[in-house]
Amino acid sequence: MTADVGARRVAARPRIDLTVFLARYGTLLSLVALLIVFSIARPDVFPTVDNLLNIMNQISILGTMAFGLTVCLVMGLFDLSIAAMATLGGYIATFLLVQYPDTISVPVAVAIALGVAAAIGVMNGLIVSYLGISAFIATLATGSIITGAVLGISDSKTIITGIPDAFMAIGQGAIILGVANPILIMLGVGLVLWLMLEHTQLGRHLYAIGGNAEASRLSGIAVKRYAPFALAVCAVCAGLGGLMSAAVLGAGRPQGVGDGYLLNAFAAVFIGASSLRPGKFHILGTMIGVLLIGVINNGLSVMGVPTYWQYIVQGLLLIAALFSAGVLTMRRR
Amino acid sequence: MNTKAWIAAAAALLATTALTGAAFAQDKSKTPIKVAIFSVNAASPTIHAMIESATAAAKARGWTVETYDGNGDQVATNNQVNTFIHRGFDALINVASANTQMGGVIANANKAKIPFVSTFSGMVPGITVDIGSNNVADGVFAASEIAARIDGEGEVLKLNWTVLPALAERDAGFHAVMSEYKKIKVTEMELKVPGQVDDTFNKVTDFLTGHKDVKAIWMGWDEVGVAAARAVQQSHVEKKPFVVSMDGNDAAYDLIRDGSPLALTVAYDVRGMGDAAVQSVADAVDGKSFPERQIYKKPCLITKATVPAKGQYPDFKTCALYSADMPNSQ
Repeated sequence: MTADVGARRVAARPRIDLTVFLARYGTLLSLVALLIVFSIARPDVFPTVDNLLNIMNQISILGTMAFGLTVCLVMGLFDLSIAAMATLGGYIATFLLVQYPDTISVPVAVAIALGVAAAIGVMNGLIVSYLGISAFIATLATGSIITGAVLGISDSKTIITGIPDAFMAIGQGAIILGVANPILIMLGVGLVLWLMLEHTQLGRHLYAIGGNAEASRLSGIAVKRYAPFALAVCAVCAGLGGLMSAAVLGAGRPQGVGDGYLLNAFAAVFIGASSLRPGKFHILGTMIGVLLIGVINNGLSVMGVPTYWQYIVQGLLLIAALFSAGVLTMRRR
Repeated sequence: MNTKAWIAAAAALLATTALTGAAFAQDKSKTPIKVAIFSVNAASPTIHAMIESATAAAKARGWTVETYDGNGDQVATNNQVNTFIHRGFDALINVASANTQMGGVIANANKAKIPFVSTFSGMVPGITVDIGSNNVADGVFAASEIAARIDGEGEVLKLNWTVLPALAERDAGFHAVMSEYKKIKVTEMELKVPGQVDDTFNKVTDFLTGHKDVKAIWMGWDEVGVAAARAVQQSHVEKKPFVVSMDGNDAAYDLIRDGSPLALTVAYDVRGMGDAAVQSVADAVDGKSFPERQIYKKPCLITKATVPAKGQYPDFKTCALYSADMPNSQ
């Protein structure tokens, strides 16, 4: 009798599927493993509060841009204009502040820069929704136009003098408990977008459209209205990232600001889609992806590993993350 | 007409043609010729200053100028320059795009008999002339200043992008000096390009987190030297290392003037180089020959003691290149 009950208890206990577990938590485990490895390798440097804040600061621009990109990808829209948009955001803000120092304050310059980014994002969305052009192509074209426009307006000249300290404080200051402002901005943006995607009807509609646009349309969702919104959010985040970069470095660069972030932002979002909820783009996953990239770069740099290894390790990790997500998808079929 | 008369007439005709041709060639620079000024990366502040000065100098001569920015794409740059050649431009000025990667374009320019003048692009066969600075020597100047200022011992960080030939030459200068100082511990890092400015900021920040005793940082060029100085400024290390770099752009002057961690730059006469490139084009289209295909211009050592006032530039004819010639040296 007792043995019988024990046997039933064993049978009732849920079995852990190792493949599913790894697919879901593999990326997170990789992140933890990397933290441990780097901490062991450089115990005096890597696990210090200074360095962890340093990592967070270094990923703040990438994180802000990747969060915006997540919103687009939830809807199945690839936004390739984020690199140009980042350049635009930083350049417009510094340009306005230097050209009109007496009439335009920092908040106004920031608002105009982000407003322009939002307007371009909306335009991207209208092209996608109402002209039927794929987001991939539309944003590629818009990115090219923005790049050309900024180079033309700036005459390829970097703004390096006359940027007010109040603007640079966005990137170099720390208004709460010594935590650098870029970290706070990234976390703030992440929180807002997480709430929007996970806890509002708007977010659920975005997921629904990303899952099956036709079914969403048939169920009464005005699908066409959402692309302008998603692409505007993405554009604003990219512009904000570029603006933060300009504030950190004290320079309004007319070229190349976002180029270094474009592929990493996509990598972070895709790594994120392989963790916790495999196959789904989500803010928490993106945060894990961004952290993973930041920890790899910082850890290898702290250990003095040559730069080329950073490229190789990051690429390998992306393959591993996508492979683990792919395994789960295959098993579900 | 007998044979002698024919020969005399032919000789006279040839002489007249030659003289007319020579006169025309001598005057060609005074005609409104078309010049293309291009760079693979015109947005880089130093390169941009050269393009600006070359454009202004060419326009002042009444020439038609068309500029092109490859936006980091060497293949696109080469394609565009080939288009300039096909469109019948009279001369080409390459501003800091590696001539080693423009062999086909240079060959096409030679075929079309168009002068190919460059600045900071390296000497390769087929070019008319390259105007630059002796990058190896400049790397030596910057590294020597570090060695002198840290008394020949301590930890030094060096960041560069050695893919570009000019920067690899500066690197060689750095190594030539440091190989003599056994008590200087050098850590070298290669920058990621594109994204070099942000990468510099991150790498310097990371390194300083784990190496509190770094005394100096050698940067391959001012664009990243400025980013390194910003990283040092924002770091939490008590004894902030000083930064040295090369180029002499406005941002570097500003930081040096402000007493930032950017202590010195080996500055080039970038505006003078643009002017010199235009003068070389004028000489080339007028038929003058160049005894040397590589011309070096003298740099200056810009420190807080020698940095020009805001909006001004060093006088490269009289400026100091050695610390003993500095205004506050004994």
